[in-house]
Amino acid sequence: MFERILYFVSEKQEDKSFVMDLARKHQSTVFLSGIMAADRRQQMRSEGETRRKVLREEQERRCWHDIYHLEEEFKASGVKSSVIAQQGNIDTIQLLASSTRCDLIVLAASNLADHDYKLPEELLPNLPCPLVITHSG
Amino acid sequence: MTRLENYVRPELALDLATARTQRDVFHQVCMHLAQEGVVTDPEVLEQELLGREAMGSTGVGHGLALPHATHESVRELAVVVCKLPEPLDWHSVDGETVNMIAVIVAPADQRQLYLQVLAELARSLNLEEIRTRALKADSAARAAEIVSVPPHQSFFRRNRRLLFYFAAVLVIFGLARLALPSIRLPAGGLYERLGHLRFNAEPWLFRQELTVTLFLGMVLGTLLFWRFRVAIAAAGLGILLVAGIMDLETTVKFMSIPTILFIMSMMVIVRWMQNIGVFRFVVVKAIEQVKGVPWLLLLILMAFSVVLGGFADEVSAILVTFGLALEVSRRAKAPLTPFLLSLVFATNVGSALTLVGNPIGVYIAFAGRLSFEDFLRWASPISAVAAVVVAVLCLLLYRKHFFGKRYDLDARELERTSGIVDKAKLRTGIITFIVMVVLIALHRRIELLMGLSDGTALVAAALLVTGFIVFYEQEKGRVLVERGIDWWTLLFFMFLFANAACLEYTGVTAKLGHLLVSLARSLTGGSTGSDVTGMTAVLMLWFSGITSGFVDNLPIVAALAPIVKDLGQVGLPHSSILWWALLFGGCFGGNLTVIGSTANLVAVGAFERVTGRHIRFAEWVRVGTIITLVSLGIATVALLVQLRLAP
Repeated sequence: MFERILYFVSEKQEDKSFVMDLARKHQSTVFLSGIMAADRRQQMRSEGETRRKVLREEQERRCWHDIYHLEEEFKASGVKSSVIAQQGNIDTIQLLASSTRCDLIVLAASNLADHDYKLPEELLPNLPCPLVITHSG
Repeated sequence: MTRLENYVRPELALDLATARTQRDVFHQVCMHLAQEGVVTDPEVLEQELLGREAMGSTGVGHGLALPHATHESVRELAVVVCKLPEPLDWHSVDGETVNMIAVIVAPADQRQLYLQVLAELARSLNLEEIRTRALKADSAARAAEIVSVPPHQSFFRRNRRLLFYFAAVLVIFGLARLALPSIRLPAGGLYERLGHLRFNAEPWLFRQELTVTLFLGMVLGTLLFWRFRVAIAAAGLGILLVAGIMDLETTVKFMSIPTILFIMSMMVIVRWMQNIGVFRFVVVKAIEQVKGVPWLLLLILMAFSVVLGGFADEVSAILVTFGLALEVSRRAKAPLTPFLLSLVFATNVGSALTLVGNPIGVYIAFAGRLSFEDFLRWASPISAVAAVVVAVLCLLLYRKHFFGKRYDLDARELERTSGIVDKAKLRTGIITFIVMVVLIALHRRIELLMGLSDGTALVAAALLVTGFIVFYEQEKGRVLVERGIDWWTLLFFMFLFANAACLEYTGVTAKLGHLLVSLARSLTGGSTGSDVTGMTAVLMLWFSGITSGFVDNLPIVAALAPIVKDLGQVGLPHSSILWWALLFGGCFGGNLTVIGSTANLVAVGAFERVTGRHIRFAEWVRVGTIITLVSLGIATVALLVQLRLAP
């Protein structure tokens, strides 16, 4: 049913397991991408320019690391997966959903901080497929 | 931190002139690594890379692929950057072919380092500047150098836009200091009677120089730093206050609160109608009637873009009609670009239909004390004719997409997805919309009947309808007011109006008006009377039209509106025609470029999100120029023909 899943990687193990189980069950290809959490951007704004740059680079590094780590895990367990070279904020979700022609989007609630109002008002009406929001404790 | 230059070595890079398949690429890379002593068993590594590729493409998009593997046969971590003279199909997610490949291999026991290098490489290639330079590099070794060494940006390079901005503001100030003292209002006549001659001397000259610099600085600032437009406009206003050019009371008066109140109320009304699906319902009902005939469908959507652009607002109009076009295009597999451009053109032309459609219409109505009926007499017919011509032009330009075929469309399906949940609310919405249009249309008569000042009933009508909606929505009313009103834009408008009105207050617009009339007089061979007005109108129409294509149209109109007021005061005959020249210039000029109006940006944003494709500037301008020239041409002829009928 879900041939192509677009997963915005989060740090929570429960989220990863959820996507892996789903992909196994539906024999899906998983497209992995990253979203920089808004609360971290907010935190960065209060820092000086150099410190902000270092923090941003560090977060990007961690995000890419998580993505490729997960790709390794997925491939090792027989789940087809590809990485998309596009990190961004919540606004990139629709763009990636269209370019990957995915059937399902999986997004972690932790990536939605500060953007929750955008979801029902701007994002959901324009998405080409269902969206699952995972909320792990 | 992992330093890429330790692993991405230019001497390992490969130019793969003969590779035609993924197998060729991996074969050549593995043999190369074996020669360099990095790999002991190249055949096994090649199979591993191919096997992993079968588990999901490593094409990451943007013409790049990052194949990677850990294996016992690898002695040390290495990155091989490869350039391909002939692009290869790598089954990338974005469907693009691949021009550059970076293969990462590592010993099986260095998994952590391998992931770090992979993440660092992905991060580096995700930076547009590095990616573009690497893709354009003339050799693989050069590409490897670009990828591995982080670009060093000097202070000047990093802040070039800001520095350019400050330099430009200084140049503007210098030019204003040179030019403004030399523009002198003539003694005698109306200028003297109006007391304008004080503008020829200090301290007004310095005030004019500062005001012009701040206003043009604000326009340039909004162009360069759009996200910070409110900050820029606020700072400009703050400087005007601190410099003692305007007092607080005058500043608040110049913020044109009636205009703001009207726009604010309309934002609530239109958002409510949008939420309950009034506009969408009406358009879907009309689409049902065309039975999948493409050109009729386009015409219906364009007609609604014009009407909604004129009676609701341009952003809502484009959201509704282009939203439906997206669904039509998806279901009928029809190209989307012709719909996008045609609907945006129709919306911009339609936004001049009445005073409601565009903030510049509202501003002009209040500044020129023009009524809805004036708009129906002077703006609606010209806008309607221009809309018809634009529709014909669009059908001609895109004829191969709209003739000789029929879309397999199920209109009921469109209706099902229209999100209408409450028929009773929908009925209330339609009735409210009709009542609002009638009240606004009759505002001048109500004002005359009740002895109210100009524009009072207009604002009152919008406030009454807003009050009803907020009451009707009960607890949701608060959300509607908080979210439905674009407070950011309203604040910008207030600051902008005050900044622009300061041009009038300090006499800049009186001087510019004098200059404009002198120019018009010399262009008409020194004649006087209505010929000068006609030429002034033409100059104003084309100037505002062309500049509106590149800069937000409201600052242009806000700056030119006081000139029109001044010219009316100094007795230019039939000067009210200038208001219409300003309106058509501001609205029609928005079609010239992709950044010409808010409707363009909203529609292009939706287009890019849905298709993942960018509309190129040139692609827009090619068609936009034709549409703008024709529509401005129609406005020119129509205004000149009616010139002597204007008050």
